[in-house]
Amino acid sequence: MCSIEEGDLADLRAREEAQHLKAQALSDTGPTLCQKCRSAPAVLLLRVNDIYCRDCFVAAFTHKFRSTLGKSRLLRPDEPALVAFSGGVASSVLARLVSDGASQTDSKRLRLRPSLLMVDESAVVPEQDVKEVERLAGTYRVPVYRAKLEAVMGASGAHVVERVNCKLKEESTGDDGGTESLQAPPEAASCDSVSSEATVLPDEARLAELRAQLQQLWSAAGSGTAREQLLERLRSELLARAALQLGIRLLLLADTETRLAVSLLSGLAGGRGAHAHQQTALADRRHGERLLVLRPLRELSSKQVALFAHHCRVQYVPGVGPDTMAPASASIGRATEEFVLGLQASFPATVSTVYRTGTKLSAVGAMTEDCALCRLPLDTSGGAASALQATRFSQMVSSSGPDRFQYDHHSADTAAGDARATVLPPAAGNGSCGTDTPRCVESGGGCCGGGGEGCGSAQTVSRKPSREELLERLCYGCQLVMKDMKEVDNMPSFVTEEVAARTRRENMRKEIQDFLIEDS
Amino acid sequence: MQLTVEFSGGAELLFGNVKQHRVTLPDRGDGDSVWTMEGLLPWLRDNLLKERPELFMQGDTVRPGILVLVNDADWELLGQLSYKLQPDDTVVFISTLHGG
Repeated sequence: MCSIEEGDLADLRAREEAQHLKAQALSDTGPTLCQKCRSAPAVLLLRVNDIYCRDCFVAAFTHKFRSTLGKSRLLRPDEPALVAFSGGVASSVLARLVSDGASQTDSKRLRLRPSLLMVDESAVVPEQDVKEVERLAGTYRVPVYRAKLEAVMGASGAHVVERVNCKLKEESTGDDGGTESLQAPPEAASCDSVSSEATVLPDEARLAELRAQLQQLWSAAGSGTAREQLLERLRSELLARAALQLGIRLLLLADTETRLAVSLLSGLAGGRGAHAHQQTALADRRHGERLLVLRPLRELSSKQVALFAHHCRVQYVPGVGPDTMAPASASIGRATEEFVLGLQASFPATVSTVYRTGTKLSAVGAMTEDCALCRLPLDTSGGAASALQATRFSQMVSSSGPDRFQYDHHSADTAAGDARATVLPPAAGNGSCGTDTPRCVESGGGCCGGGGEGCGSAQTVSRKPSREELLERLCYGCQLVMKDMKEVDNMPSFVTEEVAARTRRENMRKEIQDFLIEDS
Repeated sequence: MQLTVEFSGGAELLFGNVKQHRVTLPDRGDGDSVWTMEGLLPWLRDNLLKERPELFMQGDTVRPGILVLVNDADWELLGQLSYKLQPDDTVVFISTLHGG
């Protein structure tokens, strides 16, 4: 299967020749007509042979967006929706589609009340132009919210999101319904933060602490891949928490088909094959029943999105991230992107095939618990003879070297981890029982039985989980990310809280094991 | 010959962060200034590009992931590299790498 035979190469060459000839033919016969309306000259080439004029393309694009949303059958009429907005091309196009659709006055109006949520990642991505993103967000004439990435490091109950007030410089005149989407939006002037009762941020000092903690976590990441993955998980958790705090049930992500195909493949390379389905699905319920995450652009390629943005004059900022302009060797994600896009150039069905395959994959035998970091189901139960056990075994053997076996060379971290566990910033508030008072007073509940003899035993409950404890509560993909971290002292609160809660629960379970009646 | 060349989607980062350029292509020396896309690309790389040529071109064409439009039409409909440029054409390069 892996050998290239004469026939294959000849096919490849023949196909390239055919494409070249086709391109020649097209240029020789002069402008061709749109295959849909057959009246306007074609300006776009999508997929292999489909050519469209601008208006038919815009109509088809918008229709695809609407039908993807409609197919989900999960929307209630006129419910509020939060659009995750980074200012990049895909989220700008999504913002335009949603705001235009919602402001239509005819029966085809999109029955949603949109607002935009932008994430301020400047703590770890200094190149992000936050002001520009705010300005762009303001042009859509919907409420705009901002969340700072460092806020995700804090306790679960703390507020993370604030309203941003953007004043419009002038309204554009002469909008008529039909061409609304093709006109340039008004320029927004300044954007100030507006605080209301619902969206009060933690105070500046606390934010500065969290920011420092985030930057330490960031610098502990040992590779471009680890940084990429970490950012994605933190951002996802922040978006979810912001939506829940705003009381909005619906979160729209601007993942395009191309992005999903790339993340599927890089996920497979990073041990996240078990989550292939959830990562490409239209509806993502990883944050529980209270939040529905949708991907309405999942069937539109980034080429289509970029062309729509060009033809409809959608403004956006270039995507900046830790791997902007980085070579393919910087991270798994970058290498996969180069690979997929390179393949797509010669085989235009690549992206859609990869994406569609991802939607068909699903894990067998999902566990009941979720990963503490990415919230997707754990996939680490394996079995006595599973691939996971084989991987672990060979890892153990190869890391121990030719001399004697050491079971886990991270066990040295465990002891050090516990020693460090006693020192915590005063305002952490993550609710572990390590205090001297005989009764545990906890904000969030979930303590080990509240005030009984289980609490107060400081040696069983460490505030900062050791690396071992942490890894046990993560799915395989997140474990690989953690293995790339030099130290795990600065994990965000939502992770440490979850790990601590589960450890307590398990300890309690062990204690009462003999009294439990198991189903046989 | 005068052309307008635009960059967006991140491609402008390679060209000094300037999105719109008005360029004048010199005569080819043999009296007949026939410029094709095939000739324009290396010219842009050598004269306008500020850094990282490998992020703009791969071989004799643009890097995969960069869309090329001539007068708002996809260059694949016009013959790609063999398209002959006309005076005052507008060529747009849009990068679709990790956007949005």
